[in-house]
Amino acid sequence: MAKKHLYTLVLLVSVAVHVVLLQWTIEAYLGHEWTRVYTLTLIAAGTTLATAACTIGWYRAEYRAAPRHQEGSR
Amino acid sequence: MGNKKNVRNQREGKDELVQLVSNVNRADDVDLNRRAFIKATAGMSIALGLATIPFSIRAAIGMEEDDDAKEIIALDELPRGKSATFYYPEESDPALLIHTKSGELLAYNSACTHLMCPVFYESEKEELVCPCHKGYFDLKSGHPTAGPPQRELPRIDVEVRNGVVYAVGRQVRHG
Ligand code: FES
Repeated sequence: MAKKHLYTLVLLVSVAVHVVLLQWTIEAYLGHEWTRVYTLTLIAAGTTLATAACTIGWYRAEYRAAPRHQEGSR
Repeated sequence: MGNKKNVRNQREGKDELVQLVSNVNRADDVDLNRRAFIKATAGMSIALGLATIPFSIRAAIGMEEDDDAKEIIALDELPRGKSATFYYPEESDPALLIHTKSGELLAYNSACTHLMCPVFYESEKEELVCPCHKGYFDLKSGHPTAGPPQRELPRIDVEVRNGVVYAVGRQVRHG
């Protein structure tokens, strides 16, 4: 249970992190700071992979739980 | 009669209004919404993360800038307190060469860093003004002093050779 909550929390935080990373990337791009653009994209790629892993982890934890609604499940 | 009425409020009832009841099963609702929310959050996060990649690709493609010397104007055609428009480094990048009252030569790309309106040289107050949304830039540094612009104007390095002013390079971020 606690693990599921941790995944959810990480996912929520990752949205904030990615918004900031995207904002910085655009700033760096407009300022022609190419190395900064590359660095930020690299970081974003890393955190995106982590987010994807986290999503998979959440799916596993979430759908392994005992099914509460057998009838009429959608 | 009474029976039919009851059936309406049951899940598997035959009455055509019966499906209304499945909308108000609170436990189901909360559960499904929570899952949908987390899935949407994950999708959004991944999409935002991937959205940085096109910038790197564009940067890799359009990185090399030719900052060769480019003639702007003969110095004696530009008295103090006047400015001249030119294009640097590309024909699509308008720029402003300013001969200040104190005799300095300064040049900036003149597309406002807010929404790209042209910036003008205000010789009375010795400052750069964007009339669109009242953006002000410092003449000496090109940095915004008032209004909506957040970034400085790209500075163009100039050189005088044999009485002719040349643009020789550009710093997009400076100071
Ligand atoms: S475009 Fe210059 S202030 Fe808005």
